Amino acid sequence: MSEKSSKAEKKNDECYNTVAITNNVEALEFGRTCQSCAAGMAAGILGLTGFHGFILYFISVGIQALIWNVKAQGNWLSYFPERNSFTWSHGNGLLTFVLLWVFFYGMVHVY
Amino acid sequence: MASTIYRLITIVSLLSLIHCAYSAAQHRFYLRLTEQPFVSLPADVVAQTVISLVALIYGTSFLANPFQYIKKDQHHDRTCDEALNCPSFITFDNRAKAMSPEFAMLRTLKQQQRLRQNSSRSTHSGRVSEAIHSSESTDSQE
Repeated sequence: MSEKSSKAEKKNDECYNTVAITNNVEALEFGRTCQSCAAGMAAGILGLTGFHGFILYFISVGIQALIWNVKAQGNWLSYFPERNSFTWSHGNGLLTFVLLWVFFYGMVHVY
Repeated sequence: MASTIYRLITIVSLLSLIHCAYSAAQHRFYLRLTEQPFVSLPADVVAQTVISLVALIYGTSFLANPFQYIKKDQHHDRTCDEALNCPSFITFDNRAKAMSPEFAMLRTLKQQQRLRQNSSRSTHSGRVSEAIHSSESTDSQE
C-alpha cells in the first residue's frame, strides 16, 4: 500500500526536457508561419474581402491543428506541457496573413 | 527520404498556388478586355487553390522539426529495484542449478548415455581381443 502511494506521488513531479520543448515550439512556430503565409496567399487569390478572409484563416488554423495532432500521433501531452493545439502564436500568424492577403489581392485583382 | 517527399509536396503546392494566382489574374484581365463584370472566379481555379492550400499546410508542418518527447524519464512509475537492475551480471551457470528438478532428470539421462557408451566400447575391445586370441590359436595349431 505504501509503495503504491509513493508511486502515485512520483507521478506528480514530472520534470521536462527544456531542449525538447524549445525544439517542439520552434516546429510549431515554423508551421504557424507557413500556414498563415499559405492562407494569406489563398485569400488574396480567391479575392476575399472583409470577414471572409479571416474565416478562411481560422479554417486553416483548424486544418493545421488537425495535422499537428496527426504529427503528434494522438498524444499531444507527451510533446507539449499544455493541451492546446489551436492557440499558438496567433498575433504573428495574423500579421503574416494580412500582409500576404493584401499583397496577393493587389497583385491579382487590382493590377 | 521522408523529408524529401514533404519537400516535394511543399514545392509542388507552392508552384500550384502561384499558378492559381497567375490564372486568376489572367481571368480578371480577360474580363476587363471583354468588359464583363467580375462575379466570381471559375470553379477549377478555386478548387486548385483550396487543394494546394491544404497540401502546403500539410507539407510545411511535416517539414518542420520532428516532435521530441519532453519528459525526461519515460517510465517514471518504476521503482529503484527495476531502475538499478543490471541483467548483464546475472549468471545462470552456477551450482544452484543442482536444486532444479530438471537437473536430476538430465543427470540420469547423461548417466544412461555414458553407460551405453562404455558398454559399446567394452564389446568392441572384446571382439578385438577375441580376434587376437583366434589368430594366436591358429598360429599355435600350425
